[in-house]
Amino acid sequence: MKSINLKENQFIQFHQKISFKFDGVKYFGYKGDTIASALLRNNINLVGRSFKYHRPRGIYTCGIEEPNALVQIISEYSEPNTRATIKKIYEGMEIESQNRWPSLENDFGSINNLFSPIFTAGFYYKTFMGPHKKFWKNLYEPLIRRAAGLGKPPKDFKGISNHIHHNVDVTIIGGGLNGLLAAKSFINSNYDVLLIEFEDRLGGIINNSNKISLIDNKEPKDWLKETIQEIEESKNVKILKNTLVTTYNYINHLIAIEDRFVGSKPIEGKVNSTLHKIRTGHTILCNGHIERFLSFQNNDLPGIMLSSSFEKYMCRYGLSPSKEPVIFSNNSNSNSLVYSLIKAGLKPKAYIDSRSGEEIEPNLFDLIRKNDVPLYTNSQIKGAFGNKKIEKILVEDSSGALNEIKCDCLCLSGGINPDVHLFTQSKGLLDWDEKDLTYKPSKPFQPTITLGSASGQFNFDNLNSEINEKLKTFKVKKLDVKLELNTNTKYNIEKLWEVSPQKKSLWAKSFIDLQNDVTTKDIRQAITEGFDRIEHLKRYTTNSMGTDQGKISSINALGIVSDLLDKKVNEVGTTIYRPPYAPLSFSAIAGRNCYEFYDPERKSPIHSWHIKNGAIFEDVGQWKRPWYFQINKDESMHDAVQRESKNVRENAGILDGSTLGKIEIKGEDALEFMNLIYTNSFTKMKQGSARYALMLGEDGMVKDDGIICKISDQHFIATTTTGGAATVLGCMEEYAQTEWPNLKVFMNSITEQYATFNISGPKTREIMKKAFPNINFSNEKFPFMTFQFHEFNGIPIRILRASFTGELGYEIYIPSNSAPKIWDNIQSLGKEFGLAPYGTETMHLLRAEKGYIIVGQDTDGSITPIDLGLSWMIGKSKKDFLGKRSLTRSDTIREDRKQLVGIIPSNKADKLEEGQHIILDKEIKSPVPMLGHITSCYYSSTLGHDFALAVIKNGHSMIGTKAYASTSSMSTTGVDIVKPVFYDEDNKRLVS
Amino acid sequence: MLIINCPYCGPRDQSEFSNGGEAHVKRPDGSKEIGDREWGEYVFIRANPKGLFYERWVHTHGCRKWFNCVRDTSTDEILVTYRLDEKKPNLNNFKSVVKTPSGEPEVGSGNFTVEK
Amino acid sequence: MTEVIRSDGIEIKKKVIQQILLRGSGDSKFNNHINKSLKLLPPSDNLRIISNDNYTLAKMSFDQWNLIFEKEIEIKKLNKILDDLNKSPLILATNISDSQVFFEIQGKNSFDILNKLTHFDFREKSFKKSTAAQTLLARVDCSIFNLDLKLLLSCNRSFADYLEDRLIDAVNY
Repeated sequence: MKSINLKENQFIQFHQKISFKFDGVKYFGYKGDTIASALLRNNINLVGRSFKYHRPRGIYTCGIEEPNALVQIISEYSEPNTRATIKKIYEGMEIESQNRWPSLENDFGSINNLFSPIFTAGFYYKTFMGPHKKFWKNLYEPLIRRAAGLGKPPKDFKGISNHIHHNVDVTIIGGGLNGLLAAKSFINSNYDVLLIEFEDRLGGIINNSNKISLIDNKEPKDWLKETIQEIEESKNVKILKNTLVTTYNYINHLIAIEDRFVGSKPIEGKVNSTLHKIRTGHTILCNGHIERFLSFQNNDLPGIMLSSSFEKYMCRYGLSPSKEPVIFSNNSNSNSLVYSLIKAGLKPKAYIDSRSGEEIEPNLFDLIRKNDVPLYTNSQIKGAFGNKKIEKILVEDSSGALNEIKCDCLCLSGGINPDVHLFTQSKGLLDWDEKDLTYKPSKPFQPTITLGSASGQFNFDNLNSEINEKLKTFKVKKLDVKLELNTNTKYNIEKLWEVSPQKKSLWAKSFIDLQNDVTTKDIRQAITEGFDRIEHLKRYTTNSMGTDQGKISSINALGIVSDLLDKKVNEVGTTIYRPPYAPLSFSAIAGRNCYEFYDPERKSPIHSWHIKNGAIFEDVGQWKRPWYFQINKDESMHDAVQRESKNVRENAGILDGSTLGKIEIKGEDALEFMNLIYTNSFTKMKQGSARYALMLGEDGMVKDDGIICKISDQHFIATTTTGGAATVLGCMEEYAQTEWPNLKVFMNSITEQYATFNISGPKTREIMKKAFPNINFSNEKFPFMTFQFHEFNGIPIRILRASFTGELGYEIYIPSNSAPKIWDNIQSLGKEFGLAPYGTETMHLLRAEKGYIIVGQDTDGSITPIDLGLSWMIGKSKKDFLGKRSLTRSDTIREDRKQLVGIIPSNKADKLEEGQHIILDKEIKSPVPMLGHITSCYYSSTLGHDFALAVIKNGHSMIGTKAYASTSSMSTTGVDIVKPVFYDEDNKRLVS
Repeated sequence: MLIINCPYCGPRDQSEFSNGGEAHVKRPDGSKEIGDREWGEYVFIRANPKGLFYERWVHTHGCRKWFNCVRDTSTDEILVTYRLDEKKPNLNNFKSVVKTPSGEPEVGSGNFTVEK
Repeated sequence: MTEVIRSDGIEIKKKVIQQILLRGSGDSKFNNHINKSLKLLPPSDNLRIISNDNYTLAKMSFDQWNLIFEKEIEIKKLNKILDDLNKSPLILATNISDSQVFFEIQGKNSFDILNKLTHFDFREKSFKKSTAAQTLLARVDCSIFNLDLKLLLSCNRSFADYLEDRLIDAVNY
């Protein structure tokens, strides 16, 4: 195909050459070229191999709807399957064609074409089934994975994306004639308007075709320049170019993707794509129309393209891909291509129209006759032929005779469709127009307006009336634009979806979906096999399931199906149009919310001290908590944990407990409220005392636990688990607002207000006396489970005597900003007593030795307080509390519920593991009845062996018996079921 | 991505809210005798109609207050939001043709594209 | 107060500001009690901010007010105010001075940059001066106070490092 440059073009900078490589060979294009226009300039039309049959493919269109020309750009910023018709070239760009081996010219995969008669519709569902199940996993799947896909993702991806949120009153999608006129109407009004255009310049059909000769008596390019300037200078209309709206969500929420490096190489460290998230009051769709093709034998040969695309290459890119293309059409939209060719001093090799002479417009007739263009009316193309490119076509003329025409390019027009993707994404409904033979937007669901060809206006005579009528509600100034057209025709089309082939052959292919290699024969076969509902048909044949979503062909498929089923097209319906309109990369969706920003990191007030002192952290929700402390780089976790726990039992340890939730509850009805929320009764509790409490769900299952401090009947402070902080406060607020609004009570979170130091160990009292010399820590003055308010250097603090480790201990609450200093102070004063910090792993170990549960570890939402042996925590005289009634459901009073027990290995040297099943039999012979599982498990240096907590059926009555724990290697370990407490059962150390 | 009109903060993005399930479900008085069935229905059973539905939402990432709304579950349209202390609106005031268990709204379900 | 970042059209500073979280019914008893203690009548319109020389009081919801001390006062004085307010059984006043970190944001590009991190509508028609809002910004729960000459953004102190990094990132990318 010999192309010719049209150097009067105003958009291409012919003085600026750009070099690029395609499949290793260097070529030149110009600034402003897309990869497609640059390749066409170099007479390259073979750009890829089709997905299934590996047929040679060329450039079919000049826009997003491109099905074939998908290429790979070798760069760390690029994604595979780039549309050559969109991507602008930059100096040094390296491009490779896809889906071919060893080369584009000689592709081994084209052997698929030979086997194509078996690769028909439903092929995937009918094959790869045997001879044995293992064949799928070991042979077919790996092979198919290797062959699947078109391009390859880059090994090292450096692209940076960000997000921008917009809140506007009106969004206009499409900056063509209608979009610009709509934007113009809104200038200086009270509306915040956003005008979004996909190309790198506004204008749409004004730039891409020769349809319009004058606007308001000005040259289109002058009118365009003036209008754009007016919009740019306005205060309330903002323009976004190079931005494609991909998604139209409910309610008037749009997603658009902007390419920040159009025509230049992305700069490292700079954002190269932006995802716009737009909340708009109204959406005005001016996104135009898409031309569709026609189906006939070999309608996929390189050299065949859509007629309006050919015209766009001429008008927008200053390039005529061929000197004398043949035009095949069934409608009047291709008239302007004839006009453009003749205007450029070229002419079509032949003009073939399926309509009769009477339906063809007189001015087209004049143009054709004046320029001696061979004319075929009432004619159809029976097939295109050639080796890896179009060389000739076979035309059946009005008399039925077959004519062979040699040509290097064929322009098709099967009609035009309003681009309804976004409209239907918005859940608006379509209606089939029988005259224009297309689906047009009908009933909107959201505040959506469509204008121009997007709403089905294919003639320009309603331009003013439509805009003025549809924008009436905004009370903006009315328009009265005068248009003069070069091809003054009313849109006229005659139905033609596919041409039947001249010869019946197993290998004759008439495509209905170019990207997925679906032929019209596949459609017929699918219907024969019973897939006559359009959604089934789509998936069975994979029609319109490619990255182009069948934009130039899906309506044709509906037309063919309606003819085959003898149903109206409206009855056949369409498949659901799904976002995104064009492929959207995950990196754009992620934006900056990746790597270290993926999830917020929460740090305690003492965080920097932990880092300086060898803490290894674990994630507890969003918090970073010290898991254990390493005294040197060589200390293993096991050794560190054993050292820390030994030290707590022998000397003293200090843990940063700031992450646990703290809630302040106050009000006249606070006592009644607390009694309703927790299982315990707080009525007789003394002021200044503290109590361990459980909170249940309404299903009776343990949801959270904590320590409740009673300041007075009207004032409490509750603690929660780290993960449960927000949930417990949320639950309290929910019941206070929705269920018991009559109770006078308020609750505030003070989790962040105070840092919490948990200090415990036999030497704790001495350390506390040194750190807080004015406070009396004697057993008489500061009993176990009481709390006191004090002032330390003017800072209000609270000390609670409680411990989770089973040793004498205190919890110190200090306002966060003052906490680091006091922590440092305690560290230095405690050194002589052997005070050392410990982390969450040691904390888990020590509490397990005492049999204290951790909600979420030993409970999983299916455990009641009775299962845990904590019936004593239920206030028996309480009339009501959350979950009370559920404790007497038939399920919760079952005898064989899973109950908390202790587990130790019968042979002390054996190891246990969290998650092990507890079973009765030594030998594993399936099916094996499971009694329960180990919920927490540690090695204790105090005990000298492993120990565990578990929940097993009838656990309470099984204490004292033996059982087995199953291991991951299908053997078993003998275990003793014991009471869930392994250390200081009488709590002597706690209350000392 | 709905817009939900919080009665206290005004219209905000759906991402700021959490759904709270069926509204106007009264907790049985725990101090009285409650049958297993009545209690079980309160704990585990909630209505799930297609069409107009009384629902609760909470403005989790905002004022953290609970409120009610009427939502058409067949189209996701939130027809009205109202405070907890306001009377619940009569469903007959709203135009919805969908009657659970089946039926489709004229427009807005997203289940079909062509006008019937 | 530390400077976080200064760039074209935006300046962000980080401060710790004393703050009390007030819960109450907002009825006349409540208003009188507050007025007696602070010589400031709490706003009745939701999300409204009123201030005098010493205090700024923002109504965040029908039963929640944030009392902000832009000028730092002695801890003793703050505790006295707390005790006075808490004397009424109808009020819960909690000191949250240590709970939160504030970012002071100024500059003509403030809203554009913040809109890289949040969907919130900062336009004058939606978010007037002397009003407050609670929303999500960079995945963190924040309160925003739209004051005359600047914007105050507060978050829980445990998120402050992350939020600061996100703010800097939004300016740079």
